[in-house]
Order: sequence, then structure tokens, then C-alpha cells
Amino acid sequence: MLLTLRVRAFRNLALQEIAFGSDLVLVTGANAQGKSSLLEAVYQLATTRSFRSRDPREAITHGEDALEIGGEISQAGSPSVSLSIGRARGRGIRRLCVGQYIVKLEEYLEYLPALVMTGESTRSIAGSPSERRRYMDRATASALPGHLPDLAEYRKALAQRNQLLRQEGSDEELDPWDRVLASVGERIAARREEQIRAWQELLPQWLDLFPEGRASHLFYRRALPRSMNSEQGASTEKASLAEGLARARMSDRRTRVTSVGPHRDDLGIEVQERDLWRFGSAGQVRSSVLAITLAQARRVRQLRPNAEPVLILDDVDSDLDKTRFDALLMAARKEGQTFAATSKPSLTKGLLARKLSVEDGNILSDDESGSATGRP
Amino acid sequence: MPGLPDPLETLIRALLRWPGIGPRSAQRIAFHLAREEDGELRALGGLISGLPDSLGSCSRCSNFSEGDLCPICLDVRRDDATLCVVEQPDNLAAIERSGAYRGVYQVLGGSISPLRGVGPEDLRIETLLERLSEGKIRELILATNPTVEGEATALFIARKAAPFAVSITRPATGLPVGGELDYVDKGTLARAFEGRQQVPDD
Ligand SMILES: [Zn+2]
Repeated sequence: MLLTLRVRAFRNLALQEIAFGSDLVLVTGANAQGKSSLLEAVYQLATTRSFRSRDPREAITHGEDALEIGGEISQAGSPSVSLSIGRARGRGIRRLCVGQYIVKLEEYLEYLPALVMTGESTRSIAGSPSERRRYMDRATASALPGHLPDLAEYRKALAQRNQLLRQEGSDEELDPWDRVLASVGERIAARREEQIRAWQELLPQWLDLFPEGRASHLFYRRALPRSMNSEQGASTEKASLAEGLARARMSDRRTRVTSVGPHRDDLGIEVQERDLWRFGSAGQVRSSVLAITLAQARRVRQLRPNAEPVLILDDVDSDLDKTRFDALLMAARKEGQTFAATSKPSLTKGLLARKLSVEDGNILSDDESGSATGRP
Repeated sequence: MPGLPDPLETLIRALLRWPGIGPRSAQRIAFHLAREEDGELRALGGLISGLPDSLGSCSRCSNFSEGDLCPICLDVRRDDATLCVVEQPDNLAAIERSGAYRGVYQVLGGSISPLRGVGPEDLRIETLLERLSEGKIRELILATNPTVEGEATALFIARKAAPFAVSITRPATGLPVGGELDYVDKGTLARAFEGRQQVPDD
């Protein structure tokens, strides 16, 4: 559990240190005051990444050279430990520390797995396969940290193969890249498949949030060359990526881009045999994503019993009533310490939680900020 | 940096192009040099400017060498039936430090990378195949870096070397992903060599 957070030069947040001390932290405030920035800081401290921009350096306050985030986490059965991350502009220097030691990314990620849902992501997941791939990879990497270096390797090998396609390289030159892609790609696909199966099994746990949970089917859709799809129909179980790449090579040469592999695969969900991403209502899509994210958190706990996840819910309440919002928070805090931001203070009434409000980059605890009038 | 005389500024910028040297180290080295005595500086300068004449590469394995052949190729006690392929002389030096290997080497000069414009023909793969065709070599160890480029290079060579019917191996995994051979500690490198595995045919 994250006990404290310290930020310096992080977006519009003022230099400050906040104590959380609860498994539910509710952040309120009007738009653009810094609610999302606070959650982003928590997420960046946990994962070194941002859920708001591709380049986490964008979070460095305008006019500053470097940001710093630090925090104290408690661990079951061992003393608490401090994590910190420093990030500079320019050459992109990043320093990760556990306690007083500088550590490598792999080791840093051992400490605080994090899952995130935002109002925007629940909307974009329905419309964008690449958004869905990011969504499943973030959760897969939280559960299985070995996923990240594989993704990085895969991206490099893919860029090399695509370059070779553009410069019309020979078959002999393409072959080794296909083999590298196939072996890393199979590992990536296998991990995603395994996670999706686990999420599917867990889905019926949250029927109050996602009533279709029992009737829905979650699956991994592999991108395969046309010839393989028509031969094997829906049963793509045995098709290997190596074979897919070989069969796609002719058309890949024409289009000069690699058309099969995990970078084209997808996370599918059907409710009563209808594609939810395409035909589901906005509400159905949102509640399915909320339920899947809870399943992802549960899966992280199953695979990494020593690392309790944090759940970050940014602005997911747009059309949730108070009852369902409460149900969501109660379900989330069972899976891990939950940070939720909302612009509707009425939603937080009656909840036992650490309540914070953000005003112009200043994070105030409830008693400090006083009643509805805000500033004195 | 503001307030530095031009010669120092230029020196710092030159040092920044060196591997592993960041702004702070560059400044420290430059300041150190600035305090050094004339004689020392001229001796150091002489060493550097003399390199193109004094140092060449081994005509057999392309390791750095003072004469036609490098000390390893000259050493009759080395096992010349075992050939280890590395990307750079740095990798060779790391393997030598580990003490786990007694055979000879072939330095490729890099790894295949279409993005950097390096193809198989830019590496010393033809030389390697010529050495294989002499018929003396029984084991070929592909110790390219554990990066995707190193992996692809190893697979490319494995295919090319298949007709020579030698045993083709690759150091065992356990090397850090995306790393470079010369950053791996001695013990790990020695274990990777001892546990080397056959490269499967495709
Ligand atoms: Zn030599």
C-alpha cells in the first residue's frame, strides 16, 4: 500500500508531500485543477510510465528541468520501503531508487504493480485495437513483469523487419528476423492468452457492475494471413506465428509492412455472440472494461502474492449513479489500494476513505479544505 | 557550459561522444587534463594520434593487433578447432577475461541492422565462411550480443554455416536481455559458455 506521495515539478502540482494511509483514496476537485495529475504521479511512481501521454517526460512542469516523485510503501510482512523516480528533460535521464539504492527497471517494477482505468480509456478501448493491445499489455506486464522486455524486443525486431521490407531485402535476410519475431511474438501471445483466460474465469465475480459477465466470452484474436483464416476457419489454435509470417511474406513485401503478429492481434469480447466493442452500448462497454480491470487486479494478486496492486480510477463515474459508483469502489478496494478521482463531490458522501481535494495544484486533505466554499 | 574558455568547451564536446561519458564525466576529465603537466599531455596526445599507425587489425580474426596476427591467433596453445564469433573486440576481451574459453575468434565488426544500414555484406561473414571451408573447425560458437540484432545475426550465420556440418552453438541464456556481452560479469559469462546450446535448424 502506498502510504505517502511526494512530488516535485510534476505537471501543475505544487511541491508537496501527502499522507494517504487508507486503502481508498478519493480525490475531488473541478476540472484542470490537478486531480488527474495526482493519479498520474501515483501511476508513474508505480510503473515509471504515464497513462496520459506516451512520453512520461511530458509531465515535467513547464520551465523545469526535472521531475521527482517519491513515496513510501508498506509491504506485507516486511518493513516499509521508499520508491523514487527522477526524470530529466533532454537526453531523458531516468533514475529509479528503492530505498537509497539506484536500481534497474526490472527490480523497480517488483514493488508496486498498478492498474488504471480512465473515462477516456473506457471509451477509446471500444474504438481502437491498438488501445486494446495497450490495455491488455499493461495488465499482463503488471502480472508478469517479464512481458515488458519481450515487448521492447518485439518492437525492435518488427522495426527491423519492416525496414528490410521497405528496402526489398532478400529472403535470406528476412528469414532470421522472422525467426526472432516468431519466438518473441509467441511468448507475448501466449502470455496474453493466458491472462485473458484467467480474466474470463473471474468476470462473473462482478455481476452487479457488469450484469452480462456470465454471458460474455473474452478471447484473444490472432491476426493471421487470409489464406490461413479461410483454411482453418475459427480454429486458429494450431497456427504458429512462424507459419503466419512465412505465408504473409509475399503480401508483406507488396505492402512493405508486417501484417501478422502480436502487434496486430486483438482482445475480443462477445456478449451472446455479438461483438461488444462494435455493437455494445457505451454503458455496456464501460462496465465490461471496469469488470475486466478488476479481474486484471485479481490476477496480479494471484500471480504476485507479495505485491499488492494499486488501482487508479480517473473520471470513470461519468454516467454511474451513486449506488454503482459505491459498488465499484467497494469491489476495487478489495483488489488493492484504490485511488479514484471524480469531479462530483456528492459521489464521495458516506464513503469511509481518505478524502482529498485538489485546487490549482494544491492537494488539500478534507479537513484543511473546509466545507463547500473551498479556499478561505 | 557558460563561462568556459573555448578549448575546454571543445574538448568537453569531443569527450561527450565517447562511450559511457555523460556531461559530468566529460567535464571532470577535461578539467583533469587541463591541470595535467605539459609532458604528460603530449605523451597522451602522442599515444592517441599514433594509434592509426601502431594498431591495425588481425588479418585472420580482425581482433585489434599490432602485427599481422593478433596474440591469440599467434598462440599455438589455443584450440583452433573451436571458433567463437563476436561482434566487436570488446566482446572478445570480455570473454578472455572470463577465462572460460580457449579457442580462437572471428570478430564480425557489428551486427545486422537494416535500420542502421548494416547488412550481412558489411560484416566479416565471408571471411568466417572461408575459415570454415578450410575444414579444421569442429565447433562454431555464435557469441553475438543478446540483442535482437545479435540474435538475428547469429541465425543468419547459422544458416550460412550449415553446409559445413560443424557443431553450431550459442551461449546459454541467462544473459540479460538487450545487454551487451562486455557488461556481463565474469561468472555469468563463464556459465553461459559452459552451458552453450545447439542452435536448432529451422
Ligand atoms: Zn587474430
